[in-house]
Amino acid sequence: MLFLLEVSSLKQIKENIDRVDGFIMGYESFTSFCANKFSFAEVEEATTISKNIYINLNEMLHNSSQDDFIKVITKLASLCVHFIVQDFGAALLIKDIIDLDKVIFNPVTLITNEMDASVYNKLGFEGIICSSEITCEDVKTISLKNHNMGCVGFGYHPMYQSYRHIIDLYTDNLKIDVKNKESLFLKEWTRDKKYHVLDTESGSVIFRPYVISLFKEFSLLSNLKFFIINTIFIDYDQVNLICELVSDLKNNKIDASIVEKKLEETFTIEDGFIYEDSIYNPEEF
Amino acid sequence: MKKNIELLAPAGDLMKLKVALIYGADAVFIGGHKFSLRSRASNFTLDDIKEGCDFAHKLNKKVYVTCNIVMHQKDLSGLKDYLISLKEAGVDAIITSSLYMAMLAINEVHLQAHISTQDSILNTSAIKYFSSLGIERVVLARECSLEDIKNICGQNITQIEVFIHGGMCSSYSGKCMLSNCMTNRDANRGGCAHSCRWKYDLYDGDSKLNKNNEYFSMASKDLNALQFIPDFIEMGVDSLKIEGRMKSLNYIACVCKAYRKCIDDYISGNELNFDTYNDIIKYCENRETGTGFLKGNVTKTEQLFQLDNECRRSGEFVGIIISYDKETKIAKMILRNKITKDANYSVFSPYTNDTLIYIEEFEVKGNNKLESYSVANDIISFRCEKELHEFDIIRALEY
Repeated sequence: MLFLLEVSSLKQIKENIDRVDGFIMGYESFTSFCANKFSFAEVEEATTISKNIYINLNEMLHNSSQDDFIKVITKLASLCVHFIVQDFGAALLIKDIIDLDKVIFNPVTLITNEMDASVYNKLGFEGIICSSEITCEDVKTISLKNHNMGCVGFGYHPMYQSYRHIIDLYTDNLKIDVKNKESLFLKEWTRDKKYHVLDTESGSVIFRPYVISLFKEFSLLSNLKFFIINTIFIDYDQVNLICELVSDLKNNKIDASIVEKKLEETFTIEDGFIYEDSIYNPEEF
Repeated sequence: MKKNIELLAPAGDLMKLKVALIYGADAVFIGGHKFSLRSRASNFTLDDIKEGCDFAHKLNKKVYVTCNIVMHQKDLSGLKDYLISLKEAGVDAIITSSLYMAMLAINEVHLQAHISTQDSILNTSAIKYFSSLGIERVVLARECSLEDIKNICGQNITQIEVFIHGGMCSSYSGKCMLSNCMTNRDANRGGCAHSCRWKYDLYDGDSKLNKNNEYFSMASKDLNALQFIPDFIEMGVDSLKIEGRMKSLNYIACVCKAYRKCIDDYISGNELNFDTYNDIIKYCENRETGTGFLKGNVTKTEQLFQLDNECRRSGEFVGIIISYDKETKIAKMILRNKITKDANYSVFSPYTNDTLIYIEEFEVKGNNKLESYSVANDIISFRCEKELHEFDIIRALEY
């Protein structure tokens, strides 16, 4: 299993180069949400630190942006980086430039069963990321049948992605002045939890209230190829702590239960759908 | 110009299917008991589907079945048998978000597949790939602009379907987990709790930014693309989709008739009268409408900031005619809302312009002495001098 860490600085790559297996970087264009966005020069510098740089281009690709997207991919491909994409059309455009064995397809919600995973697998992706809406047992089943699966194993998960700039539209309508767009939350009237919300150039994203950690069911994930650590909204020092634990786990110094215990001391962790599948049949309402 | 452009309407049950087709739809999309979103819609049994297909095909029209849930492991069971059943029932195509299901339907069941808007398809790159697999139609994401649609259709890759009317997801379709995360009801498997239409507070850190009597809303106005119908026809769009399998008979009848008239007027070279078309739709609207993403990314005018202002006009819909005897002049009607004797009513018909009728008295279950009656779905009969037709809709003038 390869541990990929989303980074917010080049320094973070240097500090964790021996702890994880690859680094995920947002880019100045075609990245919707990420811990930080980097310039081409910064990505180039990152490739001198690590050979395993994954550029996360998770914006939904509108038709009129395809030509610009091809230009960006062509330029970045010269640095021999890998890519992570959410939009299927974007993945296919990359296929015309480089082999898909350097592309991870993460459609966020769509990979929920072994058969659909298999269809996408046949295209030759380096990796395919399972939906966060399924149980760990289902992730296990899918990964037993498909060799290159991955999961978002730790971090805040998005639960809403929109092309609309919902914050800008709202604050403009009510003439509310927002000083810091990085620290906005939504709170539903009848619930106590607060949800991070971002307005980016690509639209809006709302996140789950707490981090989800799959370390607690790590034994079910042994067939996965990728374990992604999202670090958006997570402090620098906390990221380093996670990496230390991952390093110890990889080197068999500790087991996953210790990792989980240590993480629980630092983070409020929710289970998401790790154990419990959601409901949808009419008779279940 | 696309002269044979398809008007595609939703149908939550067999009666709605018939109404949609009679009021002008060229095709309907329906949900079965399995693999379909909108699980609270009164979805069709296989017998219903067969009857619906027979009805549609006699009119030279089509039936598509939504199989658009994002299937989890346990949902895979019985899929192929179900697709075979749909094929045998006469279904013209399925609508699916699963590439696996699409391939299974096309290659092994020989049933056509359309890619659902749940896949949020925005670009020709993906459409070309789907076409190469033999998929005959892609339903575009609602986030596509007119310019995007024009460019996509201009490449003539495969059939293109666009949304023209009805509810808009606030999120990219298929990317929303609000309902699932907040209520454990999976929107991607038909359980959407419409959490985007709930009331929220907006905080900057610990400071609430909205006033106590105000709330944050991410909800969207519904789509009304009547004004763009000529553009869609000229672009070569293949199918124009009306959203809303949960909507009422009255809604489906009104929206189908309005868009049918607009399409026919444009193709026939008649003068377009958008006020007339919109007047037809106004009888059934229950939410403000806008143009969605068709003019580009939305502005604040497309958002619903005051959810309490939703209008509801369904009370005007009294019932739908199921038979009329020309000799006795007795009409039978399925009641939906309150009927009162000695009152004037209007008739909304697929065949004629609106007319007025007078109902002196009515009979229900052998009783013709009632002043008024309001038990929904009961069948009432009344005498009417003016000839009525099956599927005519009777509306109250005051309610």
